[in-house]
Amino acid sequence: MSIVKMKRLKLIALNEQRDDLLAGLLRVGCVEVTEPEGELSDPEWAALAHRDSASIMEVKSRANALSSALDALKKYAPVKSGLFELREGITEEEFFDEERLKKAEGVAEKINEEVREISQIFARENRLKGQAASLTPWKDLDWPLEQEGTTFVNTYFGVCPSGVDFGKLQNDLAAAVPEAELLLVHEDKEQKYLFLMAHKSAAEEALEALRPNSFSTVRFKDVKGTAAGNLSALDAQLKEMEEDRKRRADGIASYKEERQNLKICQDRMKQELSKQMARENFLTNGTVLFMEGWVAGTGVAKLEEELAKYCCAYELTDPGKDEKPPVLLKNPAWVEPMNMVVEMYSLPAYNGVDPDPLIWPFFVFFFGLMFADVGYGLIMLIACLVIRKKYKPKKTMGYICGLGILLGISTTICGALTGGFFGDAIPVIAENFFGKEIKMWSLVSPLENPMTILYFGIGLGIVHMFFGMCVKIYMGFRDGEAMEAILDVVPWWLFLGGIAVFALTGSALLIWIGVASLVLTQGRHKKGIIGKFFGGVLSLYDVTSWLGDILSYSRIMALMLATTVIASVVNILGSLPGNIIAFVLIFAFGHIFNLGINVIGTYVHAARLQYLEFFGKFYKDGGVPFKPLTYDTKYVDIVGDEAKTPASK
Amino acid sequence: MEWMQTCGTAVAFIGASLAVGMACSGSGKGVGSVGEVGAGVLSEDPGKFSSVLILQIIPGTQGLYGLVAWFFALMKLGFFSGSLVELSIAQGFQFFAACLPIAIGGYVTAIAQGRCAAAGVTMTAKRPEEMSKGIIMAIMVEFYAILCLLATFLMLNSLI
Repeated sequence: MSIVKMKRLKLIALNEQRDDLLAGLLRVGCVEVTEPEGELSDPEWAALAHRDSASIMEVKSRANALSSALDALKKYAPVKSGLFELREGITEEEFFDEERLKKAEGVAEKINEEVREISQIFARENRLKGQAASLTPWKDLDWPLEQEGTTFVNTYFGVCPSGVDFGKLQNDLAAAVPEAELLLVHEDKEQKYLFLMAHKSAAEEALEALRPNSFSTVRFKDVKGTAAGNLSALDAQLKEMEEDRKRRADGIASYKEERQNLKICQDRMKQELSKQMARENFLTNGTVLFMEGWVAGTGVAKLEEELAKYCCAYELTDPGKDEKPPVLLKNPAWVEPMNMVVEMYSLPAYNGVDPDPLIWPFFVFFFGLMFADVGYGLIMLIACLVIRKKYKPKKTMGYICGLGILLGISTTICGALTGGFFGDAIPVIAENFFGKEIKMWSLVSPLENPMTILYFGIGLGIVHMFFGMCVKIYMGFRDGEAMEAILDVVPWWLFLGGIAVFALTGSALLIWIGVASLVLTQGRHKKGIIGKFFGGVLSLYDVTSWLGDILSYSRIMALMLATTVIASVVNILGSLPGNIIAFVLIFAFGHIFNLGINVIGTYVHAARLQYLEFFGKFYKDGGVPFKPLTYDTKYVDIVGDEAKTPASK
Repeated sequence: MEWMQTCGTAVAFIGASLAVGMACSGSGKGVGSVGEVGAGVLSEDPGKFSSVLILQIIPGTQGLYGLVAWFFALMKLGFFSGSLVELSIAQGFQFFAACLPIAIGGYVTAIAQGRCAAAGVTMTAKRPEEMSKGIIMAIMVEFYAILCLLATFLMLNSLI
């Protein structure tokens, strides 16, 4: 239930043990290797040691080969994947098996080779298709494309724009050169394709006569025989290529048994990459290496046990005053999902407090109050339980499931207290289909007594904010700034308590004491008596922000009503047709919609009340997350030998 | 001037029509503007269809809220049960006023939400992992549409 204490690690080890050491640190998983900034800028250090040259590029290219092979497999041998991927358990030894890697890289090489071939075939196919397109208009002409004439006659292939009238062309030609003949071979949207025959003596004149009509000749390079003959040859070639392509695609698909192996090895390369990234921060002189970093206090024992295996020297020190250690939050499993809410805002500073357990009760309760429906609560609870049982999600998805279970329980309980089950589904169904009148039991009904809910919500909000201020006082005592914290907080308590006393008894005495103490204390950081006085007076203006904060909790009532109202409108809509099938359809669609839109909305507003109203009172943010060198896999879970059960296989 | 006494029902109808008409116009504009951006993103990467779709339907809810308000108003007026209630002009204006929050609020928030969601789509294109934040930012706008629906509903509920 706290921010984990960090230790600064400085380590000197033998260079020849480097790879083993990296593997050991990866296995321990509680060391973040940092940039050796201080040492690099120190000339004495620079004379002794230099940065280790890591082979990041090489590892990256090997990882890329594996992932492009996987992509190719996904394309040519697709598998249906669900929303969540079931992760297989695998032992460390199997995971780092060199044979497996060698085999997978061989397979990847073959797959990538085929992919390259396929893309080349595609390029060739496109070229041939272009050729075929240029020959197609001439396919009805029974004349070899390379032939330029006979003994007495010259022949020309030519085109002109489709707008030109063919009859006029013929007339022009006949008028100018009687010894010539023009044929129309083909016509499409853009062009007319023409064949001109002319006696050799009059060939030039014939071309000249046609020129004013935008006639131009066409030559075919490297093509022999008729267009039709060429086209059928091209067709045959294209068909062959397509078959070749298909054969190669099938070849790739035949490796589908290797998919899992490729995935494991891609995960493996990811680990290699993070080792190389860490190695880049090592300093070395060729025989020894130096590294520094942060160690989570919880992992020190494990690290020392691991380091005992190597020939090395190290020291662990507490972080210095001006150092900013990374932040890791440690909480029991049932509080841990709060990390998701906190991370969306910002991690606490290293010398702040862990907000997870502080916001836990409020977040869960606020969410339940705003959603407040037994039906919706149970759906959330069951869905998250099923997902967790079946897929055992990790990280963010795991947090979402854990949070969903908590929020589902809270929503169900609040729903039971406010008499909501899919809104007013039970009374509506009873009245419309069974003709009975049922009234749901409720402690307080949001539709009948919205004001009660409003007062309750605001009261809860005041407790929330006062709790935040108590945390601030605690932090003040812890950091030796108790007086500061008390002076910041207590005058406001007097003032706000005074308002409550005034409302209850009509005595304004405490309000005035509060005002006086605010004026006297809040300007204490200003210079001079006058500055202090005006600083104090100005602080009274903060009353408006307090008012805003308190009123902000009215959203608890608003959102609770919104859920209930939309749900009951769905029920009314459903019961209107008076038909059970229509009712079920409208009921299902409407409530899924209401659940979906309100779950996100309620989450955001429950979180907002923490971020602005609660954190505003005490929170120190700006922590940098702790990113240790550790197993980070996408497809498999690395488990200890004893933990590998047949069920996880 | 006898018609003045009995035209209240018609005024109430105008209010209900405005509720659904304006809220749906707003949603149409909002959904449309997300779609425009979404189509551009999809031309680069069709695989993002599901995330674009989720962001696109968000500004669509105001139209639905408008329909709910319209429906609720007409039900109160006895439109569906076949026995139309005759309202005085004052009662008619009360109905009209009750329909205004979702009519105006729905129209404006749907457009604003559409722009926000469109920006979210652009963000999703560059950083798919941050999509949830895009959704959350768009949902922040939703709150005000819900408040409008709530105001309309509570007013309608207490009429007649």
